[in-house]
Amino acid sequence: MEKNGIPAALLTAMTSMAKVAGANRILASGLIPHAVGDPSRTLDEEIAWRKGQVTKALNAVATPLDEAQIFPDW
Amino acid sequence: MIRVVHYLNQFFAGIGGEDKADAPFEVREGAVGPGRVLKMLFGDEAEIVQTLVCGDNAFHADPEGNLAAIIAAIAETAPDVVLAGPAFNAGRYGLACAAVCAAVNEELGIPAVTGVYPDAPAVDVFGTRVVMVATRDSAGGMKDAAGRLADVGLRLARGEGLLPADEDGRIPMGYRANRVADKPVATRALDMLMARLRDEPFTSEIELPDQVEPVPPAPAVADLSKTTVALITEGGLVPEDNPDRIESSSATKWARYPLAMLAKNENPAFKSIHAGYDSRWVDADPNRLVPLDAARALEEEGVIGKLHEYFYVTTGNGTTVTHAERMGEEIAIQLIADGVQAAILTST
Repeated sequence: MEKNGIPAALLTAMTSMAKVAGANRILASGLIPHAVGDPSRTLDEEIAWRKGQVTKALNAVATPLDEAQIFPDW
Repeated sequence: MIRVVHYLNQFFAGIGGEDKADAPFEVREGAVGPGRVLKMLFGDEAEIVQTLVCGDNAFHADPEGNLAAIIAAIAETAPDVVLAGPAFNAGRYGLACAAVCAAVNEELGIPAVTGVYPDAPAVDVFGTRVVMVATRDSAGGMKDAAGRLADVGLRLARGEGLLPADEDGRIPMGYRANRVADKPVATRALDMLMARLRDEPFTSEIELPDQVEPVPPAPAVADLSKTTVALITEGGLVPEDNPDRIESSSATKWARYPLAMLAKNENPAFKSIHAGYDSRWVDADPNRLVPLDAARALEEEGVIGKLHEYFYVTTGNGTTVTHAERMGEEIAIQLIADGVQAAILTST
């Protein structure tokens, strides 16, 4: 995506692996089997949490970068 | 004395260049062109009894017919080994050399070796079936290439078998051969660790894949409220009948499905076919992998301009870098065509 000029944010539980694999905009999120899910919450809480994670990813694609970055958990 | 049959194209046989690429298959006695270099390397141990020649275009115009004629000629001559090329980085010639070697080896049981540049097309097609020595990309590397071809060819003719690829100067064929090591694995591992701690040189016993080339970050989007955003995942989420047959590991395929279909999630329902994680939570609620509900809400609130109406999916489990890069490229082309300006990906 990024090679073709599309900024792309990756939500993953395995941020160091994402970095080695060459992703540029990396965000720690969730667990391996559900990067944007949290079954321990109630449904409404889970959706609100997920909205927060997606918002962080959107902020990452709106952030100018010089090199690959694992974004802090804002 | 070891008896060798050598295969060449019209160029190396001295018939001519591209204008003679239609030269039909012919059999000549003795060594021709690069065969004379091989002959010097062989000394008294081997001789080229026959040279088979076929034009690059002529071979590929009728590969089956030509291979049948070549096999018939070689069966009659019954050499100890067949050498082809070296073909360097030539596409048609390399493929012809490799096809001849594969046919000779598989149909007649006679060992066969060719030499090609490691990125040549013949390696993709025949690399796991044909013994190939590595050459430079042009005939400037003839001397080294002929040396390797002669060494490996004579060793196979003597029935001695192959050495590890790096010792033979061969292109790896993708399998590991067992051999007895002089020390047990724990000792070798500790030796390697100690060498590393002392900054001494050491060689890994397993070749690591090439590191991914860093991609410079794409420019950031200027205004999210005017941006079209796509959702992508490697988590293997597909309609339950997996209509595009995306593999559950080592994927070579990707697909896209309408978000409206995912929102409905019924007839068909979506499920993950990814074989590398426990998908029960995603199967129960696919938003945990493809955050459609959250992204749609942010679209409705005007945080983003538009949510692209498809999500894109493959399986990231055991998928090679080569296929991953190709699929990424293909998806990017589709996204650009559809006016997408940013992507959110999830990985498991």
